[in-house]
Amino acid sequence: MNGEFERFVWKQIERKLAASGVARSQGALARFVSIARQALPGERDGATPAPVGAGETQTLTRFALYFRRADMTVELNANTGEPMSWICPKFADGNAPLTPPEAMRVAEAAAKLPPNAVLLQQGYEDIGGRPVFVAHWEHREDGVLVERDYIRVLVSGHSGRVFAIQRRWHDVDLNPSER
Amino acid sequence: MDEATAKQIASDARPEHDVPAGYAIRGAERRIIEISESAVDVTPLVRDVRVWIVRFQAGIAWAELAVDEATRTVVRMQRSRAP
Repeated sequence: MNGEFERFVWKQIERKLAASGVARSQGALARFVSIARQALPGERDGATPAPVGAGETQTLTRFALYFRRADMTVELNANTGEPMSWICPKFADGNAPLTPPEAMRVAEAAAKLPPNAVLLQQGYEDIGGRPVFVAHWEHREDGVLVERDYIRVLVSGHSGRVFAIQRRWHDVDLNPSER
Repeated sequence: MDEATAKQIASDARPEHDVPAGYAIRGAERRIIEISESAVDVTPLVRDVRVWIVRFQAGIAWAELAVDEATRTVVRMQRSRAP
């Protein structure tokens, strides 16, 4: 039923587009639009849609259409599932630049800083021809550098939004463990 | 372990880690590093080790020996690519 329903929705979209002079196949549209069937009130997931009325052959179905607005790349730790990094270039678009202190506050809020994070670098840089505020923290235990641990947050100088975070951090453990 | 002791242990370990004679000690710093404890064919176990990183250098070429503070042994060697 779901496959039949999806085909119906795709056909509707294609018809609407064709009527407005745009011809797109489902394959091309699927890059930008996705369809997700949703349960009606009181309906369990995957149940057959209920008839609209007694003796009716029509059924009522609820669905959501999702439109792709941007690509985001996310890295997860395969052992813990914790996010290690994400980047969404779309978040760098805009026109709401921040002063360095404002950008630093935005970066700190996004970084979720652990107690032993020590600020190493902050300031605007030219990255790929665009102004980017870079905030970089390193991990120190009692003043001793924990090699390879760091948090790096990039705030767009155009949008004033965080558009990338890289995080490698672990609790120091002198006993052998899986990581 | 103090810095001088770490440098001495690293200097004594130069031959077994092929640190060229022309390399001079350029500095040392305390660091916490990760060391893998497992064989290649099993799930890797990793532990943190408090070390002194002793750096040897000749021009742009360098080698670093990590001296474990607890065992006073070299637990890692890293070097620049051959000049």
